[in-house]
Amino acid sequence: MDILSGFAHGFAVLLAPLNLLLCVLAAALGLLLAFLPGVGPSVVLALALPFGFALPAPSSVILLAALAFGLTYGRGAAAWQRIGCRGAVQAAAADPPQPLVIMIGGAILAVLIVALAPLVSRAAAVFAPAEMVALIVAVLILAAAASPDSLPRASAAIFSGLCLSLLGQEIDTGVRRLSFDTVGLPDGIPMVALVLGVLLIPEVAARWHAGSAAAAAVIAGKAPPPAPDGAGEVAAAARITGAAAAGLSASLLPMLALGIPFTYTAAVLGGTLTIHGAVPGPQLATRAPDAFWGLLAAVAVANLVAIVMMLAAGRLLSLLARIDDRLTAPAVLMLACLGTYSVNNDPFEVIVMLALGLFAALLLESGWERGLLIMGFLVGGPLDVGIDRALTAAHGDAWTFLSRPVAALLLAAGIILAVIVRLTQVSRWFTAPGASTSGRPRLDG
Amino acid sequence: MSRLVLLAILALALIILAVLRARRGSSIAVVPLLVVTASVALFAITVRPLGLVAATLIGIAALNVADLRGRVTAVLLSMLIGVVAVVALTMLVDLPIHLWPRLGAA
Repeated sequence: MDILSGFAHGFAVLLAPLNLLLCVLAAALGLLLAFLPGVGPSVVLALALPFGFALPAPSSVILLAALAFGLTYGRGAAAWQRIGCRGAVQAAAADPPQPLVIMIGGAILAVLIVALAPLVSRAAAVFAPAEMVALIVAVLILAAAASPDSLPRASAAIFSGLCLSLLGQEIDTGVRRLSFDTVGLPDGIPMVALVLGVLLIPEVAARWHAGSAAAAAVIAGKAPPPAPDGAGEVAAAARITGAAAAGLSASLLPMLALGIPFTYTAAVLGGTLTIHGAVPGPQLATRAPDAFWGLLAAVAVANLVAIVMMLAAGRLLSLLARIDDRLTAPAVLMLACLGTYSVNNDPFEVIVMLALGLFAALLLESGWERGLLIMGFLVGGPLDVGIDRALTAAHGDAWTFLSRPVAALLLAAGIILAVIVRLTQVSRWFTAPGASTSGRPRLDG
Repeated sequence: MSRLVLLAILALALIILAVLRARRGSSIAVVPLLVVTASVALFAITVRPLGLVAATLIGIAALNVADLRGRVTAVLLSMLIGVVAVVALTMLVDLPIHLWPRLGAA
């Protein structure tokens, strides 16, 4: 299927009544939910994850993608509200027509970026398991190096995620790993329990401790972009919104094409695909064309719906921002419990979610990045299978990862890039003596 | 039984970590974690015998009990919002979860 016919197929999938309704409603709902205090984008997406079970794979990913873009524009609209504009229409009228043009430009860029996914996917499809393993390892090294956290802590977060992904039965041999002879968790840690626990429990706990460093970190992670000041403040807010939409698309690209999620949103979407048996990666477009192309079409439509809604419903959105987060946080926690419980109707999985949430809360207190843990967990499965297949193909010769030119090149590129990124960060710290670690960007949120 | 042992080991690890951090002078906000733990644990324990509505009410009550400070109306409102959200989603997605206690069931 070439790219144009692929997109035509995607729009055909999206135009099915249920999918179109889900796309429009989810984009609108995302826009509204972004204004509710105490409900960050990562929380909303994590909450929506278990309920995607009831839907087919294409509908499920369309729902989540539209929700993600609605949340992105909703955060932008919230920033506009904070800088004193009663609605985006008034803002556009006050400074015509630059903000709207900037935002639409961001939306077009978002669609163009995600349209690259089929090309990258095709390039990666020729990779053998050894190359895929090298690519994943290179990306993990790069992620640890690029993290604003210290290198040992970032590596430990990724390693923790990888270890958590190993729990349960080994696919080929049926041997139970790290199970301590328990009968629980036969299939390992449920993805829903991990995502909800790691993202939600610390958020709700932080509400009880608003003055602590952890709460400050959580709030900083989920707060809308800071309100700019000066004459071009509306244009700046629009630029932030457009850039956020393009950034969201950019984060979906490696997840769709390579199966490697860099952000929570990509991780949740990848998790949804995995739950439906459509594992993200180079083969996704051929194995689950409806989900793949439907998602790309949904990105275009969700951007359009969110911008129109944002322009039309400024006043309604400002009312939502006044709701006390103490009213919404308990409902969010109970929805997380319901979502985890509903997967297998097993209360033990709710306890697993709680345990992982407490673990994540402690990580957050210690300044670790939860995003790296989730990333490690999600790539753990493909990495495990890839290593197994590569070693089987090479008759157990571990040098296969270094003797194959492309694999070796990928590993070398990952290491060189990681060194460059780290050296750049170190030199920046030295040249900016006042800069603290809290001021650097984080994966959280 | 072995599940309980695993959970006990995890709890012990968390306590040791908390003590170590406290000795270093950086204390962990224990109360919020305990409150959330109680709320989620009560939901998990009660959802099967009592149904979703009762479990949600108990969970939210446990979450709010440590922070009442005379705002009973807010607590009742949060319970209402929680139950409506949970029941609406269950019915919307048609989740196979019973809302009310199953009288006579084991």
